[in-house]
Amino acid sequence: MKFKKYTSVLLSLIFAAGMAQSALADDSITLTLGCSQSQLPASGIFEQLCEEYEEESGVHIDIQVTPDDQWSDVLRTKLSVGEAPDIIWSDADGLSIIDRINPVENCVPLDDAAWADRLEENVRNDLTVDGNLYGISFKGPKFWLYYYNKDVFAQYNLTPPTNFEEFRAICQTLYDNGVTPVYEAVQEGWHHGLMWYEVAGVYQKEVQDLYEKLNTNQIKVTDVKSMLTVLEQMQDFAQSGFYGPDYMSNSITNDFGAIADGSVAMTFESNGWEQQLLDSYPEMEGKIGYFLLPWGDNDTLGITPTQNGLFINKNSEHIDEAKAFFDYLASPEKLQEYLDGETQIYSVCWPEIDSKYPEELQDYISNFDTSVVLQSGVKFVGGQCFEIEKLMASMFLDQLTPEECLQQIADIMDEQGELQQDPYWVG
Amino acid sequence: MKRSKIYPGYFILPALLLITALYLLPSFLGIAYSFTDWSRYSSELHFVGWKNYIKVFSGGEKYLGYIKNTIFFTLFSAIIKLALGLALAILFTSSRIRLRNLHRTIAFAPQVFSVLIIGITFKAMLHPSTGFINTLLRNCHLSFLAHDWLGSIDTAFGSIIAVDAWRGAGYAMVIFIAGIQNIPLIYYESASIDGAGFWAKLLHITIPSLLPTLTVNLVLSITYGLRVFDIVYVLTNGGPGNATDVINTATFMNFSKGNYAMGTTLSSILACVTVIIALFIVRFMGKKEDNQ
Repeated sequence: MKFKKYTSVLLSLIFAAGMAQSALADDSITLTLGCSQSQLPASGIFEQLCEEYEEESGVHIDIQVTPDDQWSDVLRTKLSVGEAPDIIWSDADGLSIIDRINPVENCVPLDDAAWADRLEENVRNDLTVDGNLYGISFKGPKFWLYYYNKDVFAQYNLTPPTNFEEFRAICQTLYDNGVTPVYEAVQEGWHHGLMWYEVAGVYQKEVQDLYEKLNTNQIKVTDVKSMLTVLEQMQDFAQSGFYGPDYMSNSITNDFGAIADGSVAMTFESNGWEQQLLDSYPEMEGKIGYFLLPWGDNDTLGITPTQNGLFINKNSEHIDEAKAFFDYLASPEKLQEYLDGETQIYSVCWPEIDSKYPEELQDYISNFDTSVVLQSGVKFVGGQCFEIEKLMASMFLDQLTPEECLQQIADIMDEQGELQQDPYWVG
Repeated sequence: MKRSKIYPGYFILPALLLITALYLLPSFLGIAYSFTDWSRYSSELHFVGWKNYIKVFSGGEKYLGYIKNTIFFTLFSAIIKLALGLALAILFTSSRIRLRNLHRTIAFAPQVFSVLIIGITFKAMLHPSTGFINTLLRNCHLSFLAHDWLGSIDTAFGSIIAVDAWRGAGYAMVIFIAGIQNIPLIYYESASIDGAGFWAKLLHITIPSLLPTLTVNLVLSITYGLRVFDIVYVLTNGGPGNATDVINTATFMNFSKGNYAMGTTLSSILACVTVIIALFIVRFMGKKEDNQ
């Protein structure tokens, strides 16, 4: 009896202490920030900036990370039920911003922000809907290249290709000698299909005003022969074993080790990847080369102008605090700190901050014309829960022919056009 | 029974109201929405008749493939889980096994793990080059048995079923144990006296006595299998390609795309099929019990 009495008193004290602590803790503000895994810089610079902000302002930033392939679905669900975080970090560009986050319904306009006019014009336009700016962004334009291990290439007397046939021949040589030519990671859900979007320059050369014609439903993707050609090449690669035996199950983050140890010769990655590799494998200094995507004999550098943006949830209880956080991040000092600490990018979308492109890379990419990649310029491709990428994976496994794959991509675009009641689809 | 001892009918009202509001009403609303063009992109609803259903059943191999995968998963997953669950139940009710409660707890433990944790763990274990399974096989000189378990069309679905069976067998075991413990021991003693062996007792005493329990397990397994989503999503997300996509992953994909009408269409089809099959099983097994 006495034991029960003492136990109940002790538990009551513990409960009371917990309530008191909770009441005290309520005085501090926490801003929740939702993002996907790959949006967060691997260097940790964003978390560092958040910690610095917390020290200065007392506002804690709670970063809630979701796996890449689930984030868009999780975000839409959270927005639907009113449980979205205070700050939302979402992939967004001029075409997909409404579908991804519908800022008019869900976000706070930021036109009055002091930094609004300092944001790069194209990015500002991409984050503007119905005349109102809704987001802030940091990363500069993104582009993708093939990075290769120079030692492996030298071992087999190989030089970077300038067209697809040379690329294929290189891969065949490597394959015949027991080296996996290219690292691929289909289970990520998006990586294996990205090259089809990135070589949009090839498609634009075939069809004049391609994007306008696709966006106004004058033509379908099935009318663009080079799109089929690239799909055929992608299928050929997968079925020729050039991605190695485990390409369906690989994780893209493991390409660093694979390239460093020479078991894989090449990998398809975005600007800044080399610096990330050197952070983990400093012995690879000077041993990494790169070349333009050669699919479809591409000779254009595909650019993603706006990658993503941070938005403030309209239903947040701390809108002013979130705006203050954005003001902090947009200060020139913090932008410079961000760029200095971010190894995945060479520039930020703030013209006042100088880029840090390595001279060699700057010289290389200056040889090429640029084109906006397909998913940033054409409606209804990309961002649809990787449905198109699943079709490509089926194509790799011979479940679909390239023609069937392209037809189904066209069907997906038509379905979205009708669903979104686009006037060019529903009339 | 005396009328005064029967509870009045209105005692059922609170539960009935809750079930109606939280289960029946949303279900019927969902079915109603499947006859519209409900989507994320418009606040207006228009009646479209059977358009969505026609698209499912005449949409080529895509939707029929999802239905086929769902049935395939349900069938094999249920069979393996029930067989394994029954075997474990018989084993862990045997007097020859020591620490039976500990064994039962270990066998049941996977049921309480988060599906996300199970998915992450098994994705790592089933990786073709670094995974525990293939590494063990190679070290045992059984490299020819090593596969890309989740990345190959030939083995992906079987791998998902195996993981699901591992997770669910314990649950079936618990229900079977409850049934076995209700079988009077005198039946087995009499059978032993008459010279019956293990298999004779199993076929003529255990399984017939477990028919009600088997019915429960079968209905639960089949309704779970038809509604499967989480284990497929975490292990393969319907991949490779669309090879392991089931009805609920397709439903989820349609909701992700904003095509809410098609999502509710698929889930309505699934609900109807599940109810019909469950009713059929209960009636069929109930008749068998009556015959006994």
